[in-house]
Amino acid sequence: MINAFWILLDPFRLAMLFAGVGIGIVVGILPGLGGLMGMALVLPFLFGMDPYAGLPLLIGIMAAVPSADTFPSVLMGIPGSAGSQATVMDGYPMARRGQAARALGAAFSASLIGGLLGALALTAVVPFARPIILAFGSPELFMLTLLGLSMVGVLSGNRPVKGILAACCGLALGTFGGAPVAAEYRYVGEFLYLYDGFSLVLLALGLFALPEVVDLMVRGGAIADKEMGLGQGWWQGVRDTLRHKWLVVRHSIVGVCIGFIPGMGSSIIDWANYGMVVQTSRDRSQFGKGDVRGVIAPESANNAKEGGVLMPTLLFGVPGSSAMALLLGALMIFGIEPGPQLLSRQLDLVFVIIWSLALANIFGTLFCLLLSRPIARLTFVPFKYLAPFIIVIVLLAAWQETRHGADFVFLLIFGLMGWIMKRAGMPRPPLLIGFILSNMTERYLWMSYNLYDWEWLQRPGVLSIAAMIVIMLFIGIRIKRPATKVQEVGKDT
Amino acid sequence: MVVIAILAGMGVIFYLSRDFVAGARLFPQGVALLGGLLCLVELGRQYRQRGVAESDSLSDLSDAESYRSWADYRRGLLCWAYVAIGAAMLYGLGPVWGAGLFVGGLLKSAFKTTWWLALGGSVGTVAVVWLLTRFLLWA
Repeated sequence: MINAFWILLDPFRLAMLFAGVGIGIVVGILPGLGGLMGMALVLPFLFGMDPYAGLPLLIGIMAAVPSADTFPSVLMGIPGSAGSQATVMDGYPMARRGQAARALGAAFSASLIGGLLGALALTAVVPFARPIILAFGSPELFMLTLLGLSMVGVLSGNRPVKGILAACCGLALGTFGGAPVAAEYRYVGEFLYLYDGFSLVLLALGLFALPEVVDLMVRGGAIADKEMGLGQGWWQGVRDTLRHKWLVVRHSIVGVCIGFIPGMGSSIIDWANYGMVVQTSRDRSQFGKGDVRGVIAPESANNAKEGGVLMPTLLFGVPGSSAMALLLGALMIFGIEPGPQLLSRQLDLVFVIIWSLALANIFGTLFCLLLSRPIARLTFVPFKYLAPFIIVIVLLAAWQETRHGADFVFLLIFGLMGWIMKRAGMPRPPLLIGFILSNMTERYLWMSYNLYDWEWLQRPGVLSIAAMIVIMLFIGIRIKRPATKVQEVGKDT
Repeated sequence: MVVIAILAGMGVIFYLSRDFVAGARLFPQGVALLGGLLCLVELGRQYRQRGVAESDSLSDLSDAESYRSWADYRRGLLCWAYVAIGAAMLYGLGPVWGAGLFVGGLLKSAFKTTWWLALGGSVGTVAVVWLLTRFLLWA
């Protein structure tokens, strides 16, 4: 573990972590962009990069977004991302009362403590998980891919059939190119470009980045419409967090636990924790009017959940969210297979990720505090001035992987596909998860069948994971219902 | 329409997989069958609930209601045309000059900015992309 810390202290790796935090702050502040787009943008640049530098870059983005997305939530009443929706409830009224600095101070300090507790929880889980997952064979690994796929239903919100259908599309897209268990190239004819299948980078950029850019261009104007002063009271906000330390700890633990369940999106964690703090408080009169506890609880849970979502991703290879699906993709770009192999062969890499998470939280909070005034002005730049540059970044990011003209063609096809899916109300994250898990699902299923016939279905590990799938689906539905209700109440007020 | 297109796609995958060896055939055919079945279920649901607006999902990215009329959709398609032009320029002229001309052209012609701003954006993009391609991406 200490060795991993020294590995991360290499100047280039540390610079990549800083860069990730910087990008995370920018995309977190700009509503509509989000960490997923930031991660998708840097994904192509990871080719050929040292994984000890590339992963801190991604973790930096991932950890900084939940802190930075607080700016628009508090200052403008616009959620910076799905994970800061509930912060609007009390953060924005505080800002309107001239307590924006206090709300931001409380949010950043709660985010910092939550993020560090999340990293601590991830560290604590690694030694216990190692012997268990080392016993995993291909049947259990196949079941884990099913666990990831089963979460698509939860990721699809109130459109489970459309979500599973989107995942099927992802699985089908993943079958293009060379078959993993037979000497056969599928659906590509003589087109050499597709012999390795579709590019994950093109799919992610097309699905998530381009539709957002086009939608913001259509909407016109600036990202944010009105400006709000920061006011005074930074330290009072920090003191508020310290005064409510047990609230921070409690909601951080809840954040880690919900984050561990694959498919629980940031918005669910956010609203579930907001609902919980309202339900468990004696004095509820100020909630929705500017109660600092309404900022502290969701913000601490939101950052702590990053440690939770990393657990199934790193230890089992099951992406707990869309961002984790991209992280999984990044690991594959580096030639690293997550899951048991990662813990047995590259434990130092796991600890580098944990250290990155902890340091990114610290740096992210410090950056947010230091850059708060100038960064707040970015959201008032008309999008027409940003759009050409973002389009160029997306195009360059797509092209630099193979520098083939078909990169642009498929980027546009996937972009239009994402745009149409968005208009048709079909969730896009399940498609990405299906695509990423397609190859693994097919390979492990075939290996399990060839090695054990259908007897693998009776293995204790397989049965345990099958039970876990059922339990997690049940918990997911149970948690989502009240969270949705609280969200609806929030919209009404 | 989207679901019908997916149904057609699943049908094509199922049909094209028929000649593959078992190891390459079973998985895509299974996925296509499941996908086709879900398409039929979704079509049935849409038929039953026709005329009823769907509520937003919790899990997808924030979806601002940017499209209220056909004019908005036309603007959306125009934006896609800009992206396609940008891709063609980058491919035809190379990343450095293509990106620079695209940024300047888009700022001036589509967004009606001043010449100075378009020129500044163009020159800045050329410089940044040159540095990026020279030292980071394709060093």
